[in-house]
Amino acid sequence: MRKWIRRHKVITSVISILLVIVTVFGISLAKDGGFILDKATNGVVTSGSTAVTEQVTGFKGFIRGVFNYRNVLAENEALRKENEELKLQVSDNELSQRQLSELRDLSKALNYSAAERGGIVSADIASFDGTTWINSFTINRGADDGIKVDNVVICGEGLVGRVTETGGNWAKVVSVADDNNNTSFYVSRNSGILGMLSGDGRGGLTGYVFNAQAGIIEGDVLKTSGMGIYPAGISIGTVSAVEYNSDTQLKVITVEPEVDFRGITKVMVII
Amino acid sequence: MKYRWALLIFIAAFFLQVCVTGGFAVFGASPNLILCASVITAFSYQDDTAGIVLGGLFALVYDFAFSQTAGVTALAVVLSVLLCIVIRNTFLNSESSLSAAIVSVVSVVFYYNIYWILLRISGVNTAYTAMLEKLPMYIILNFIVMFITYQIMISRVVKHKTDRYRRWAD
Repeated sequence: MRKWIRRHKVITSVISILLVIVTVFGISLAKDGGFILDKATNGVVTSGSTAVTEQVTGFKGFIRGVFNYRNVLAENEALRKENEELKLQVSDNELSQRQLSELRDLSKALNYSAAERGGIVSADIASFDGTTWINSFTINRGADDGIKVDNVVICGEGLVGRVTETGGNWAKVVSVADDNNNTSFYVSRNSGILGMLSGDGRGGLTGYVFNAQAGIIEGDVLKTSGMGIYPAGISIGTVSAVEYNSDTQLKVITVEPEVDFRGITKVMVII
Repeated sequence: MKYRWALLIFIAAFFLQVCVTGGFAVFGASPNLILCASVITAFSYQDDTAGIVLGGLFALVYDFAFSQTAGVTALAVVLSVLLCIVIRNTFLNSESSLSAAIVSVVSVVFYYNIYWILLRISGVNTAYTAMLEKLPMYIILNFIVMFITYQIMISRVVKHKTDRYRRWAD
């Protein structure tokens, strides 16, 4: 037996490694994703890769700045104007905050309880998979920071996705365009128009409106409606095409996600 | 190739893939360095198991880090390397750059097709056309990495390549 193995070491190695991998694959399928060694491996990989990824991101930003100097200047000017507008909004909100505080005092006095939204944890992307068409990545925050599976992940532009697995100091995130879950939405222009979105399998979003007579048009901005795991009011994307499907008698829409999943470096997790 | 050297190559490939190549994607695609290292190591070093064993193991670790279902990348890598070995033993000469080029393209196409099939088995609903759209860029990027790696490796495997073809004066 030993002589045979020595003479046929390539075949033996191939059979052994195939057996191990098929076993792992089978167990992972049976457990609906995930494996015993996931957490330990991710902890090590995240710890090792976070620092390197930060340097790479910094270098990438430097290269971008050098080659896109004029664009960066224009972007800076636009951001400065937006900042001024936001400052005015903040001062308006302070007045509203006073009214809100009075209402809260009133609700306490009347013993009315309302659900409080949880906090927000910001995280850096520790590592990302660029080898396939699926947008998934790992962040450098996890269960130790209060992050749980199905927590919603957002960034400055809008909805990113949800957490699918967590460890002590890491969490796996899958983008909303690659998730099998459906996302309910409303149209920002007319909150009465509701519908459902899901990934189209090509990195974009597709869906339908509940009311086929609804006046949804190209260019409409969609936000989460609050039904399902995503809280209300988060930007999802912009409608790029509207088509009436006579078989299902529904208005089918194609949506361009607000977020560039390949370009993000920082995200926030709503816990 | 000795396992200790192959281990260093695969560790470097793994961390480069996890930290660097994802951030410098070309039209949304980046090379799969674990696949490249596995295929070229197995192709260049005959009767050697480092490429397939370490390639499978590191792809498994990669699955634990990224994939929703563990084993998808690993199985696809191992099967691609197996195909490469079969093609080399049956049709091609491992000392030829053209053979390396053919094996690179065939293994990349095979890998992504197997990967898509395994993803569907594991329940990820992704369109075949989504994979096909990015396949040309995957082929180009992986081919470049494999070809450069092959030139470095084969020069270590076969020294003085042209000696046997010289005619010695009588």
